[in-house]
Amino acid sequence: MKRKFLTELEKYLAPLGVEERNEILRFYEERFQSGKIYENKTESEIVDELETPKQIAINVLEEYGYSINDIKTEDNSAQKKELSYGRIAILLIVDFFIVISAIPALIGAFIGLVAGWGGLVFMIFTPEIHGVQPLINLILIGAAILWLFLLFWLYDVIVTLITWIVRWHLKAFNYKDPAKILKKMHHLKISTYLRHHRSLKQTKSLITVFALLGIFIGGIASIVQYGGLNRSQFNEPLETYETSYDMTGEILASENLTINIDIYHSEIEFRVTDTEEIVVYVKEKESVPLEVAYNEENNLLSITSDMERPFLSWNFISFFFQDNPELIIEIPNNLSLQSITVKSLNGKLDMNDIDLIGNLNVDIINGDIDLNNLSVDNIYIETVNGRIILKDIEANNDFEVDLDNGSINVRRISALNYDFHNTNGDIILRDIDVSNQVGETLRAQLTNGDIELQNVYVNEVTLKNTNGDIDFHNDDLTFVFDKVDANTTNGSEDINVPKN
Amino acid sequence: MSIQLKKGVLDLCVLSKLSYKDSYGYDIYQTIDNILGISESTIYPILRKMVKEGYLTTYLKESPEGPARKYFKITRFGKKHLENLKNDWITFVRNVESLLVEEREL
Repeated sequence: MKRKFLTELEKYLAPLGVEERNEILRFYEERFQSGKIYENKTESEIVDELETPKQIAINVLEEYGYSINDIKTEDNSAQKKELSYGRIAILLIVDFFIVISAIPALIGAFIGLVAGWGGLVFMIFTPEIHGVQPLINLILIGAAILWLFLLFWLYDVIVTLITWIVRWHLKAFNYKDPAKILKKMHHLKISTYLRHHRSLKQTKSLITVFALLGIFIGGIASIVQYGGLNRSQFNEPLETYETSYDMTGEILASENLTINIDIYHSEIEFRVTDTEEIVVYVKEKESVPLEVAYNEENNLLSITSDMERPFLSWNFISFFFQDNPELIIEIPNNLSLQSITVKSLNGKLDMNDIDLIGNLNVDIINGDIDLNNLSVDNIYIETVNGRIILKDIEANNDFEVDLDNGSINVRRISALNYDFHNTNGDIILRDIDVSNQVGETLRAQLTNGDIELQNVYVNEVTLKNTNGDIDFHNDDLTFVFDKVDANTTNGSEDINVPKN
Repeated sequence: MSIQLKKGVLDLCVLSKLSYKDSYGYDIYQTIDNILGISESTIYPILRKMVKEGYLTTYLKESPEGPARKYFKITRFGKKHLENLKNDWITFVRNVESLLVEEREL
């Protein structure tokens, strides 16, 4: 006990010279001897009484003008065995955050990636989803392989992170042999396994190269085939599907025909011809099943797309390269039409020289609308984004246009009640009810933009704007309005028409 | 009491104790510890230092009950040094005291 104490002290006092060291050691030797003899204490009792050799050395060396750093710490195992409570406290705080955030986040990401991978594999084995495109399958398989390797890598990252955390804990709690456990964890990693199995590793590298090559070739080929780049080099003509449905024989020309269009996206055009035929043309660079059907009972011609567009369709890419598909409906000029309804998500609408007994309903989300020289009972147009140009239209009753973003431009029209609504853009109305009947009411409502009226002869006019001007001028000042109510919150009103 | 202040008067206390009677290390430590509460390992190097500076000498004294002990004895030079330290101490205490009194009266 005494020996050990003195040996340790001697070691710590190494920076001192031999003489000084021995002097100090003699004090303690004397302490042991006199303690034993005069006070009848055991060596361990005396050791308990004394400070630790290290503390003694620190004090002594300080008296001799040494700094604490000079004290030998090569064997500070005594201190190592003590748990550091500060360290454990930090550990517990960090543990808490790992439990509530990092681990759920990692697991979530991993599950998400696995699910995504599953989706990809599912897509490969159900080619109907993307329309049986071998090139797409090539890209998908390549992506699936790389994705799988990404999962391997992420798994390794998670294992590595957990290893770090475990090592930290073992260290903080002074676990005797952390290396053994850490080595076991290291072996859980896929990269470790591959390192021990060279052929597998090489196979993996080879597969990676093939996957990349597959994606590259598939991508290039797709762009060439669908995107129109250097098409001629490959001597592959671009396939345009042009389908025509001749409905002449079926449709009873004597009855009033109703046409209903409900499709996903297309440029729609109505053409009036001198022939006797009713033909529906569908022009597209990809075959989209459109259903063209005639119902004799209602004398109804309906054109519908019978399938929902899948998310990952070629349009998704080709949207940027290729022209919009076209839908052309040819009608003989002597055919009597009841009403037309057009519903579409994207695409523009062109309609010229058509007389309807009933209504024209247009409901397009995105697209321009161009209507010329029509005669209808009521006209209802509803759009979210687009430009609306309406010219030379006669309506017996209602004329309604509802737009969110874009401009409404109207010329030479007549109706009984008008209703124009827009949020962003202008409303321009010219030559309304100039020669024919006199309209009853006209309402135009706008939030941002200008309202411009010129030569509008309707009894009651209500114009409402929030941000923008209102201009109203008529050439014929003898027309006196029953009511002109113009109101804009931020903007100027320039109304120059006579009223009661 | 701060450790620096204690160390400042350590020399004075050790020399003062030895000016009455020779003594050995542990005994000196126990006396000083009673007054100043200073650690054993601080005292021993200071005893050694004062020997080297010539304020103290040492001799071994046999004891009837056990082994010989190393006794410390103050030298003439040490006594002179003790007088200086005492004067310094008294002056120091007076000055500090007067400052503290002044502060109280303010």
